[in-house]
Amino acid sequence: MTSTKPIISDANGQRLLSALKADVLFQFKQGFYFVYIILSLFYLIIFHQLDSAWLSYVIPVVLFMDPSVLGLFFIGGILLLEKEQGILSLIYVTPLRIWEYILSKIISLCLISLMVILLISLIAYKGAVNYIYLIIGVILTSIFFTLIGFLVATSSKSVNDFFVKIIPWMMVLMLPCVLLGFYPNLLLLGLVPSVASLKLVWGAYHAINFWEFIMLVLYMTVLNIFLLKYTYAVFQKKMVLEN
Amino acid sequence: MIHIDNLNYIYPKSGKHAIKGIDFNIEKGEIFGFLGPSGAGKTTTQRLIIGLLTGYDGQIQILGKERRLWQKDIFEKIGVAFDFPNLYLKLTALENLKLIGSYYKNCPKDFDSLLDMVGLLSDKHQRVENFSKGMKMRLNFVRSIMHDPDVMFFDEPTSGLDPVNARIIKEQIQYMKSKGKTIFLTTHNMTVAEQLCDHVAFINDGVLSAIDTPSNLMVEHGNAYVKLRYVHNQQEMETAFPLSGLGDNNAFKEILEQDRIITIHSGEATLEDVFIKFTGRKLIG
Repeated sequence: MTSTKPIISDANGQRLLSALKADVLFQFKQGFYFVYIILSLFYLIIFHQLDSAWLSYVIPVVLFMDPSVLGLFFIGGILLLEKEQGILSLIYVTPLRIWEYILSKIISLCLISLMVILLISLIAYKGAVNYIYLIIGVILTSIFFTLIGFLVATSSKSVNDFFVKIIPWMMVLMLPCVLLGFYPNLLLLGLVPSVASLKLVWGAYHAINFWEFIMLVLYMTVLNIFLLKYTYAVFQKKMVLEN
Repeated sequence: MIHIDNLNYIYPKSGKHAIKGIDFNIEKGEIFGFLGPSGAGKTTTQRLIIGLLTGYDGQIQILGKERRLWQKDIFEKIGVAFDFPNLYLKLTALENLKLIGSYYKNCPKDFDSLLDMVGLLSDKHQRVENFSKGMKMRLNFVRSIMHDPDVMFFDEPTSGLDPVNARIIKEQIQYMKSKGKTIFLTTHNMTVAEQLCDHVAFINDGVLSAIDTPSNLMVEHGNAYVKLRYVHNQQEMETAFPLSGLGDNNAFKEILEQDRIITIHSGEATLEDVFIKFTGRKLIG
């Protein structure tokens, strides 16, 4: 006998939506979106100076860096600011589930990245772009880097402590991406999650092979699911029980 | 409402045996105060009941079910305010209540009345970062009770507040009791305990040494007295006599008859005196 049970019931869906609303408002009021707008304008001005041959190289790289680096840094800032304001203790004594808390953070950062990237790409890039590939690539990239930032923030005491800890992570994740420029055919590099993400975003602008795209999507999806479960376990243990 | 039986808790990291086999009951509609100095175990006990700490031994029955069997749904039925405000500083008072309220099935409708209850209606569009500590604590109080929970937990509800803000919070706690709510509060302030609590429990070093009504504790364990200041042989003296059997106290009568009295004051034991008698420790300091 089988029973059907919705994964997200009405009440849960409502709570997730409320958490998302809280995150967007929090990020807006803390000035995160202002930083994003300034940065996007800066990108657009730079892109305006480049010819289309350069753009096809620069845009995918910049649009890969955007959700990854910003995801990495923003989530740390958000989490530690919330911790300072006692929001983590507050969340624990409301019906909001820890899953909902983590998911709403991921979704809010993913949405803003998607909006900015699509807008920049539409305005600044005149060549052919596979937007479905781009959207999937950006979502997977954003989730991965946000979760890494989440994990590092979980073990950080302050915003400064977070920045000190996140720099080595950024180096470790970004260096293989630089190596990809020198060894584009080295398959082993593709196993590094940041390189897989870069390949996905790059592929949207450079007609990636369909099966390679599928493989990369599957790889990043599985990786993100494991990372999400691990982040949940670590966050539950450290942030909630030790506070 | 809350039934605690042989509760033991050891902090996993430090190995400190913080709660040592305590038992107590809290009935529906009563204000129960946990009284003790810092580090005595009152916040630990409260956190165990709330569920912020897990891995206890013994029983914690709350709202008819063992605490470890409750999921996060319990927070639809209980309200918690810590001794520090948990609020979004960059958001206004109203935005805070609306956002946090939306996490509850029983999301409040009338935010203005809630804010008015603690005198913050005219400040509802002000950012919380511009609030004084008293205003933040009042908003935090409303935040904790806005979903109309059956059981409320307040950790040092008046700690660090000026008398006006402390009075507002105390009045609201009494109002909640009048609505039939069950309230568990921790405090090291004996006046708060005397004024608010139907029952108080003394905790020290993880052990409960007494549970009773404040007046019973003061009457049964405290010594009421009369203090005389008088002049005897041209010397100013001061002596205290127990209030019980005062009429038959010859030394007292002698002073009244033979010496010149300067002042007579009666005094009664405070909850603090009783606490010291039980535990050998002061509540504050």
